[in-house]
Amino acid sequence: MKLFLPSSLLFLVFTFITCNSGPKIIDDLSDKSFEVLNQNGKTVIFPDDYKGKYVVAGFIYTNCPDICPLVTQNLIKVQKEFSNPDDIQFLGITFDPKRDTPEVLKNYKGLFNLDKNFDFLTADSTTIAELMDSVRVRSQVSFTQVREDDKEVYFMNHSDKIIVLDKKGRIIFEYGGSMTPVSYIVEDLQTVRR
Amino acid sequence: MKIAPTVLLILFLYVSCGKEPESKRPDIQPEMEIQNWARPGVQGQMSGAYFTYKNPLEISDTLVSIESPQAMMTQIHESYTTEDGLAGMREKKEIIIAPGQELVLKQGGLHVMLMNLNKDLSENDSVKVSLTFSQIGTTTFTLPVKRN
Repeated sequence: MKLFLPSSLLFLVFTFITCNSGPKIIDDLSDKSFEVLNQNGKTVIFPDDYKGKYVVAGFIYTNCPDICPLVTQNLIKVQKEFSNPDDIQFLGITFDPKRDTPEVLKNYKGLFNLDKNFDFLTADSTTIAELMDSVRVRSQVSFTQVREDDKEVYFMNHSDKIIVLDKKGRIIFEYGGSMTPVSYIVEDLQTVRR
Repeated sequence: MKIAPTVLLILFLYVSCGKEPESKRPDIQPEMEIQNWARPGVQGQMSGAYFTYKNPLEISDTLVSIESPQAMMTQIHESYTTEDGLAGMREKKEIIIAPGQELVLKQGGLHVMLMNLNKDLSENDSVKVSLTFSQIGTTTFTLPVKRN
């Protein structure tokens, strides 16, 4: 009996902890700090400035007219499903900072009918490379073409990805960016926001 | 000795209650709606366009070129997944369409690349795309610009 009581207590505590632990942490970005710019040229510290909110982020480059708009559209659909909630921040983060300046991202944002809490982020090449490494997004120039005005334009192979960060800046969900049914993301967010 | 089964039970609960990310579910490409349209775009940047064309001939026909007055350069590209799992894009030249078959351009697959747009493309504008085939000659589509 002397042994049974403390072990039962231990059992209850452990059960409480394990059964209420929430989703598995895929990557912890809470100790990272990336100085980036949003589409208005305003400095943002990622993910620190978004702590206290869930973050749904997709990875794009604006010279991609097919897959990357699908990623952005999926983010928009999630935002609309939740009727533009205040506790969820939506981000499109470029992996092509050479071309995707804040001005370009502002124009890109204007192509979509976006609500508040939706930003596009860029930074210097080094910062973007470190940020992409931390979220395990890969990109590489795939081929280059010379336009009729003799200017070169390059295209990129890239990870197709959307991630969800919890309020502490930890990645808790990952999805195929353009091909994941939006309902998956919505259901997962509903679960963690309860 | 009573602690042993309790420890086992705790281990069991740890394994069974530890939640895996829900996103382990397999990605399923949603069926993209087939329609004729073009994306909005910014002058000097890119846009994409989509349509379906049916070869009305009783012989195969080959798409040999494509152009648009709204873009400095127009090509057909294909989105695909590379061997190492990245999303990629490649140019498709000389697409052969069998008799009575359709050439379907839709999101996530074949699409028109409108490169270096001459002016902004906004919702309710339209884009002209001319396709030249080896047999039937040139066919022009007028595609509405939509946000989709």
